[in-house]
Amino acid sequence: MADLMLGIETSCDDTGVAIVRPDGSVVASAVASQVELHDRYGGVYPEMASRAHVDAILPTVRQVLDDAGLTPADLTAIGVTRGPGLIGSLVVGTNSAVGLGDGWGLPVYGVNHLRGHLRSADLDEQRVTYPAMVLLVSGGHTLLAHVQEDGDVTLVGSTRDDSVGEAYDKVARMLGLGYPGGPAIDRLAPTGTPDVDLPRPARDLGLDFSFSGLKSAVSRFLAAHPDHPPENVAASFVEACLDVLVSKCRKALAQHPSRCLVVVGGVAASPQLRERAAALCTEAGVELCLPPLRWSTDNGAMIGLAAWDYHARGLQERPRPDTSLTIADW
Amino acid sequence: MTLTLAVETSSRTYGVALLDGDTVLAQATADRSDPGFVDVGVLAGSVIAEAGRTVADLDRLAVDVGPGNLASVRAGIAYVNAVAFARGIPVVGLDALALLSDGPTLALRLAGGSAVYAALTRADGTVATRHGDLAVVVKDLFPTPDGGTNGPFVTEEGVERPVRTVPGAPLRVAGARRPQALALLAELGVDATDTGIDAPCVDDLVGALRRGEHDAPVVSAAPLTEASVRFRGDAWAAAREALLAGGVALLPTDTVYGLAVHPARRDAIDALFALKDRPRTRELPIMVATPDELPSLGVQVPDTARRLLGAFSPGPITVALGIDATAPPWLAGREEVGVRVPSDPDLRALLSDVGALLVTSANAHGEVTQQAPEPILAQLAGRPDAVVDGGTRSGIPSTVVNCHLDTPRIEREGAIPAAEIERVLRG
Repeated sequence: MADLMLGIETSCDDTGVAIVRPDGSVVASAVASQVELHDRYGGVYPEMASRAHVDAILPTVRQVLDDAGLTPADLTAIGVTRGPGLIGSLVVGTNSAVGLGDGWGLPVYGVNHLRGHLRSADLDEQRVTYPAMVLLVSGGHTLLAHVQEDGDVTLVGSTRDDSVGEAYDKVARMLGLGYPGGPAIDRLAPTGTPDVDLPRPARDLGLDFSFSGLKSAVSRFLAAHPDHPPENVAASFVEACLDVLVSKCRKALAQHPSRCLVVVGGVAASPQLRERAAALCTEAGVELCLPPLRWSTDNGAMIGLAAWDYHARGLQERPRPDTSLTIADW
Repeated sequence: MTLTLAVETSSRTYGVALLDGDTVLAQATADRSDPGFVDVGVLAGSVIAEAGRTVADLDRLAVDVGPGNLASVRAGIAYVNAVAFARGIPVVGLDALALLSDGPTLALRLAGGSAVYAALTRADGTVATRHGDLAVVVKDLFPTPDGGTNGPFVTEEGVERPVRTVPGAPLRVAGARRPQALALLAELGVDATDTGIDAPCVDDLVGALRRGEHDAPVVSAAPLTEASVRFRGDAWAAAREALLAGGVALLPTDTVYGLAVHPARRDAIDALFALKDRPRTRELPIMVATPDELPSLGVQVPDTARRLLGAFSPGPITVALGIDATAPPWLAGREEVGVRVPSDPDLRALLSDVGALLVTSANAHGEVTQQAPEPILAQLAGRPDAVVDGGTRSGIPSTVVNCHLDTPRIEREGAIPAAEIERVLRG
């Protein structure tokens, strides 16, 4: 039988389903997005998110099987995000996966969402060489992790308050740009001049991050200068964020010998971050590994690929939702 | 006999029962906050194994669709829908408020914030549902005899309060916030007793299944929330009841008013044609809440239809599509079917609750469709079983495109101009 893993991701607002081989090749993938739903509220509204997952998950599974031209009998197993994430959304994903597993007679692996992001850089083709320094930057997470070939993960830095994605969304809302804020700010920033003096927070926190001070500084600046060109505010904010992210990566690479820098998570879609990370890697003499843009944001394929690691280790357990998983957990 | 797996997860105590016909083969409950609890699938697996059966033996699933604890209701629905999807078997959804009701009952469950979901079952069996603040809901469900708002029944001077009883009283109060509800009812002079019941349990599901007190099985159950048609006002709730009972409903849509019937009711279709004073000469188009339902109805969606639905639906477009061998009996044998996904939120809530409906314009044979209920009712040959007054609606029908033909053809130009359709079809 072919090695085919059905990956299911429902930790936040997107319903992602994919079929993935152990080498990272993606047979089919679909993401049902709730962007429009949440745009009206300027962020993810948990109860609506879980309701939308109930509606979307099985049609998305059907679509992926149809697109791949496969039947359930072709599948080896199911991998599903068990955490961290919104509890209502995780509950829908894990219970749906367990129901499919019971109905089709397939094992179900409960996958750590953060390990899914780590593995997203190996989708479509193997890119990562170990040991690797991973910068995970998304709406829910901002962290640096040192990863060994055997899957052993050491968390070397994380945010003390907001994630960088949260800061993007909140600043986007201050500028009236809607949700999701990341792409909107990334589009606006290149048209402006970074003329606002914003802090570079967490300089003294070692490898840890902090973004709430930066967010508050933008808010105070806008209150004092409501007519300042928004593109200049966006450009200044992006530059401050990137300065912090890149300087922490530089420090992390110096402290933990690594063959490559991997940048994953929704904010990895930022063209400005991709440019700055490339320059840093040239300077530090390490390879840069970026997932294709489509695998940067939450998707089922990265969960499917990570589930193969669980399969290889025999780590099967019932996917009980756990909102408090850290990146070092399986 | 029909082997049914019944799942109840609307409160902290989860319950699963396996029934062969009306006989319970095995059942179990578990506290989901217990550290040893894993998931509803493990509980279901233990019950099925105890009865010596397997998941592959199941014919049907039943699940409490709430309202109740948000995450745990969804746990049960997600599990049940996935098993149903994987095995190709139907789901029966049971309303938690109905499960709490037995004779005249005020059933309550917590909603977000200070709000509750409420269902009042009267002695005559009619049910009124509400969502909102408990005090507001109770006053609304028990209006003063003169129909006005509830005034202060006890004044400073100690004026005697009018004592009112619900026919068939005393009223049972079940579910959440019972002490507060009983106090409010006492203030209004309504005679009520406390059932002491906090939440439905799996035995309530078993009882309802044995009595056949449930809606027709569906492909996939939806959680019951304030967005559901039962909480969108008495007229919509009554239309839902009438349709499920085999009646005809006059409904406002995002285009013209329509006459609707549930497709499983052949006699209802005859009644609909009688109202229109028209011989039963043509097959009726269907409305669905989402195009995702079409594969399970055996309706084939070619690429042209996918593009048109993507561009214009929900909205005023009807596409004629082909049908394959997996269609349900009421659709089988037709060459094609007109399909529309309306954009009216109340109507879509109805469709996602009861499934696809057969809907046609609300006019007498050969007459124009009037824009409001009064002239429509004057024109029809009889009165529909339910009428939802949605004010004045457009007189312009949907645009009909036949996508079952090799080259799609616009069969009626309506609310969407032909040029717009052609632009999308050209890609």
